[in-house]
Amino acid sequence: MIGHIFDRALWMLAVCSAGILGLIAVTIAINVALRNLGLPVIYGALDAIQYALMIATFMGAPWVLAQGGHVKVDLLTSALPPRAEQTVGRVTNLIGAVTAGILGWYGLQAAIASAARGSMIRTSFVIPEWWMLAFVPASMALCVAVFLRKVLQPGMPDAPLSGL
Amino acid sequence: MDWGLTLTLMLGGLAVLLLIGLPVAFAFIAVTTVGAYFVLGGERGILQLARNSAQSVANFQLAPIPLFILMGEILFQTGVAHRAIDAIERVVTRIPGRMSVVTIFGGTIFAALSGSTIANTAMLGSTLLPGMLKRGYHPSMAMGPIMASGAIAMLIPPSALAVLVGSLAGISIAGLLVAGVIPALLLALLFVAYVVGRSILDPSVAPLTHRKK
Repeated sequence: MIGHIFDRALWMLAVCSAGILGLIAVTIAINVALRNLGLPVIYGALDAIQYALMIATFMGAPWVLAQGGHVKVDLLTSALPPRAEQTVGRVTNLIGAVTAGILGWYGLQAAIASAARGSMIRTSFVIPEWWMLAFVPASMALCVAVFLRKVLQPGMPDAPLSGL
Repeated sequence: MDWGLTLTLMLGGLAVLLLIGLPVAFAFIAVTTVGAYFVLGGERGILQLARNSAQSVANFQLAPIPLFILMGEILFQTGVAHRAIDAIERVVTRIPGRMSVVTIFGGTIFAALSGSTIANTAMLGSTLLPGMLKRGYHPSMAMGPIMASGAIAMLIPPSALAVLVGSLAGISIAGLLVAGVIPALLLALLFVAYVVGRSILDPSVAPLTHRKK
């Protein structure tokens, strides 16, 4: 049950991420058209796209990881016997969990320190810096959960690839 | 930290993590985290890494990468890419190593549509490789042009790699993309010349085939 809710949450984040990428594509196209027509461009589009790229990346990463869609090299692991492959998979996922955990933990420290200092990002928009930094620990926490689930349930197959 | 240890960490550590199947993104994060700890002064280094990880992705210059991939995916899913290959197959006739030549031309054209080297190779591999092997092409003549087309895709705009290199090196991305066109076309021509030459010298590697009517 909890696993199902977790998967659903990851999927919703991925949908948001895809929506953001779609919006970026549309915004750039509109901006280019406006510029070429000599009309004023959308205010702050460039900065908004920068933030949106970061948000989309960190929002989509846990879902991609859960799907086994991150680019990886399976040259060695696919040649191993099933049992050895499972053991190596466990170790790999554990390393992944520790890595994501460290980045997430220090990302959280960075966000807390930034909030305490009251640091602001001053571009076309003026926003607290920690708003942006908070996406790192949030995303990495979800990645840790996905990695740990793969450690505990090593038999879960990757989702079949569709498209490129 | 001396350069030897850094090099071992960057090359050896990364190679091991990649070989045991850790996703590439996390393999780089792991190696960079260890590197940041030793090179940038312990915990402060990792804190800096965490801050920079957010800022480095929030970069407008990287915007073309997901959009190039999106474009390639749309072309692939709608079948336009396969139609493009089909069109080339109709045009390229009566030439030694025909299917290999079709692969190179197809790869060059699809490179101009998709920004991803992997997408290019995957599309050509899934579309043309089985047919070539079935028609008795030598594996090197069947797989070689497909892999070589990856190098062409890397150079011809749109190219996600060119965008990445441009943004990391701080050089003009537009200039870098334009600069790739002529070398890529030269490469394609040289690949075609090699395929035709080899097919003439040794016809058994690429049996003469004609398109089915």
